[in-house]
Order: sequence, then C-alpha cells, then structure tokens
Amino acid sequence: MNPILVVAKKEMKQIAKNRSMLIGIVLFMGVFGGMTSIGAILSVIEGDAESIVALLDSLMMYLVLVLGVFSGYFLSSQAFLGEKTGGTIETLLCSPLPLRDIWLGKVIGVMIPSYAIALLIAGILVALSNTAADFLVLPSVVMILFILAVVPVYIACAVGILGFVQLLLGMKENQIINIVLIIGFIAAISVFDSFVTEGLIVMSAAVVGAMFILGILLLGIIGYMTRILNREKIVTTLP
Amino acid sequence: MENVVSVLNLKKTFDKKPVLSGISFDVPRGEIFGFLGPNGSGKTTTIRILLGLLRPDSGSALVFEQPLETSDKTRARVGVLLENNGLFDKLTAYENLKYYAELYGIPDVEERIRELLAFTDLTSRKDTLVGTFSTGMKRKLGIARAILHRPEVLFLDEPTSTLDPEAQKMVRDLIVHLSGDESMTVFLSSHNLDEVQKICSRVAILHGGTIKALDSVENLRKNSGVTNVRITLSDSSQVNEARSVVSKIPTVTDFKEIEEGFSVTLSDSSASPVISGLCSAGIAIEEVVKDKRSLEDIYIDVMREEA
Ligand SMILES: Nc1ncnc2c1ncn2[C@@H]1O[C@H](COP(=O)(O)OP(=O)(O)OP(=O)(O)O)[C@@H](O)[C@H]1O
Ligand SMILES: [Mg+2]
Repeated sequence: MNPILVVAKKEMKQIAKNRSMLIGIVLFMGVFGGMTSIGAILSVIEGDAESIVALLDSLMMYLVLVLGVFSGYFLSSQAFLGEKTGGTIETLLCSPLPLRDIWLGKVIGVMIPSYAIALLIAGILVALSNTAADFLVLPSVVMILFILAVVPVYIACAVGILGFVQLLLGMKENQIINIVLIIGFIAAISVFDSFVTEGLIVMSAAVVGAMFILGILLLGIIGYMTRILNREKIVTTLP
Repeated sequence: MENVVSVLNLKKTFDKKPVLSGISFDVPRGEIFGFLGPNGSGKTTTIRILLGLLRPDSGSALVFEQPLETSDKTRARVGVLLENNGLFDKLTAYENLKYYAELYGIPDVEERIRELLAFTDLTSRKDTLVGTFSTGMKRKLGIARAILHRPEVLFLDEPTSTLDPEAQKMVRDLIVHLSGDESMTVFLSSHNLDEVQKICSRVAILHGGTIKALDSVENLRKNSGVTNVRITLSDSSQVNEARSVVSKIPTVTDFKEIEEGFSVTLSDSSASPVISGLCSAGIAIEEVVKDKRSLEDIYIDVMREEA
C-alpha cells in the first residue's frame, strides 16, 4: 500500500476507535444543527412543496458544509496536534516518508470521516424533510452536485490548513490560531449563505463548478505552503 | 571500515545556550557505540540531529554519508527508539506494529510481527490496547517496533531506563544478537554504565558540550592512569614492614591498611614493583588482586576533572 494511504488508514482507525470524541461530535452536531434549522423548519411546516424543497436546499448548503468543516476541525486535532502532544510524531518523522506525504496522509485520513459525517447529515436532513411532507422531497440537482464536489474539497481545505498550522506552531499559538481559523471558515460560509438567501448569488451548476475550482486552487496553495514546514520546526514545538 | 555514522565538528545552540560546541566522532559498521553524559549534556540533541529532526548550526552529522533530513531512502535503513516509544495508545500492540510494517513496506508483515511479539514476550497481549500496557511493556514493544524493518543501524535513546532487571537483560542480549548475527550497527545512549560496559565496543562521554573521552572501555581503563591493588599477606603482622618497603616505590601514591594486608594505589598499571619489592624483603604474599577500574570510576573521574 502507498505510505500516504497507510497514514490515512491509521488516522481513520484511530478516529473510529475514539468513541468519546465521536459522541462529542454527534452531540455538537445535534445541538448546532437543531438550533440553526428549527426556526426555518417551523416557518414552512405548513408550506407547499416548492417551499419545502427550497428550505431543504438552503439548509443543506449551509449545514452540510459547516458541520463537515466542524468535523474536520475536531478530528484534525487528534491527527496532527495529538501526535505532537503524544510525542509519536518524532518516530513518524524518522520514517522514509517526506513531510508533505505525512501531511497529505493525515489530511486524507481526517477528510474522509469528516465527509462521511457531512453525508450523514445530508441524509438526516432529507429524511426529516420527508417526514414533514406527504410527498417525496429530494434536494435539487445543483445541491447534489454541491454536496458531491464542493463539500469534500472545502473540508479538505479546512483540514489541510489546520493540520499545517498544527504541525508548524507550538501549543499556545495553536489554541488561538485554530479557533481563529475555524471562525473564519464558518464566517465565510455564512456570508456566502446569506448572499444566496438574499438572491445575490443564484446557485447553479456554473456556480458549483466555480466553487469547486476555487477549492482545488486553495488546496493547491495550502499544499504549496507545506514547503515551509520542516522537521526541526515540528520537533522544537513539541510540548 | 565503512563508517555508518560520522559526526564532524558539530555545533548546536538553543536560545544562545551552546549545547554542542564542536563534537566529532565516527561509528564504524557493526559497532555497538555507547553515548554517555549527564542529564542535559546533549545526547538526545545529538541523536535528533543525526536523525534529521534538528539542524546543526554548523558541522555535519551524517548517517551512511547522508544527512537524514533530506535523504528519504536512507531513513528507511535506520531504526529508532527515542525517549517516546512511537506507539499509539488507542491501537492494539498488533495494530501498532502493523502500521509501521506497512509504512516501511516490509514484505513478510504477519510473520515478522509474530516473530517480534514472541521475542518480546507480548504474544498474549497482541490484541490489547497499548494504552493499558505498563511502562516496561511499552518500551519492549517500542523496541520491536524499532527493529521491525530490519534496519542496518539502530539508534536507541536510553532503551532500558524504564525496564526491570530481567527485561534489561533481554534488551542487552537482543542488542548483542542484532550486532553479532545481523551485523547491525547500534548507537546507544544510556545512563546505565554497567550495561554500557557489558555490551559496547566503544564509548563516548559527552560533557560541557564536548566529548571528554572516546575509546574502547578496555583502553579507557588502561589509560585512566590509576590502578588499585589489594595484597593479602600470609602473616598479617608484617604489614608495617610492608608499608616501609612499598612506600619507597615511586609509582605508589597511596597505602591503606586493610584486613589481612593492605591496598595501594599506583600511578600506572603495573603491580610488579610492589610484588618484587615485597618478595626481596622476605614478606610472603597470600593473594594479589588488581581492582579493574569500572566504567563508572572512569566516568566519575571525567566529571570530576571538569568540575
Ligand atoms: N528544543 C529545545 N529548545 C531549547 N532547549 C533545548 C531543546 N532541546 C534541548 N534543549 C536543551 O539542550 C540541552 C541538552 O538536552 P538533551 O535532551 O540533548 O540532553 P540529554 O543529554 O539527552 O539529557 P538526558 O540524559 O536528561 O536525557 C538541555 O539543556 C536542554 O534544555
Ligand atoms: Mg536524553
């Protein structure tokens, strides 16, 4: 197996085994998701088919992306920072893997379960909409494209930048910068969401395509930034 | 002979505090090299620089003639057990070994893991989470992990410091076996001088940023310049007579009466002037014991000289 995938597989295994962390994430998702959507759901509960589909689409765009990014935030701290606090990173750095492969393996290993959680949330939203309506409610094609292409790329971006910062900086700096980063991400998604709600941006296949390309570019930039990482920076910022 | 490790005029400073002020040494293939020094003398720092985890301020630290930081392929030929065992608490012993086996792409994963678990006596704990292991069990698994991919050189940073006497012996035997049968080169930092004396072909003593001694244990003992000799007399009432004979010998620096005889400190390693002096004075000798100076004595001397 490619060593990058070996690292990714190990991260996923560790995530799957960390029950308390997973329970914490589920609770957070439930509370956050409930608080965000309850008002909207109540307002259209008596509504027609069109408004229910529109609601589902707008809830999905916001919640699936935000909660996917949040999952990436929670899970990345075990994969990157956790390996520094646990001290195992030194041994990993002695393996034949180049630094960027270590980073990439971890990004993949965190991104996959985070995306799985995002898909689960999408599924729950569709199921809830269908219990509210007496006909089949499905998200629009554009929204399906958004979830399949845009969401995973932006989760990877969030995990990539968080992981990079966690490897590069010491514990104290990380505590602050990680929170700043996640707030920045959520704020950006919220702003985008409000543009859509106010009709400033009309979601279409072209917009989804542009977002996808932008995400890939961003990921490339983050990947390029990992050049400034080096083993000494990681080792001298161990707690 | 080919040098596996070569360190030349290596300097490293942390926050303006010099830790290594120009150290040089080589480790040839197949050697068990002991790296000694008090707490904070820079042993771990030297190992980290050799492994490419830290950068030298100046000078060089090469393994197989390569700087490990940039030579991915060469890192695959190196095994490491640092202060941290490199194990994940939330994975089982087997899962930990499997991870590293796949990372290094070793061919016979299952067989090799079985062999090493058996060797470290951990077969029955194979599916137990490492987080539940005792400190010593983790260390043993860490050693198995370090040699999993059959490295050509093994860096061990205080491998036995947390082990019970039986496990310490197991690790010592393992190191000797690896160096002998598998011609592995071993770089070992340790505070356990007895252990180092038993297994290391050569030692370096690091102190105050420089290497204070670098030689085989045998040579260090020989060249340390001082020897103790204990002499038991057939007739212990002759001890005062012996004192007057022996104190005339120029190499004798100290005379101490002990039960049934006396002990002298000599400024070189030869006891024959003392023995022949006593014989020609007609003093019968029952037993002569030349105390070999231990590595510990030598180490303490080196530290004292510094002070
Ligand atoms: N990342 C770092 N930043 C600042 N100082 C450091 C760093 N790493 C090591 N030092 C300092 O360098 C000195 C040497 O440390 P090192 O860990 O190499 O000693 P050691 O010989 O391995 O000690 P021990 O026997 O206790 O393991 C110490 O004074 C330590 O405080
Ligand atoms: Mg140390």
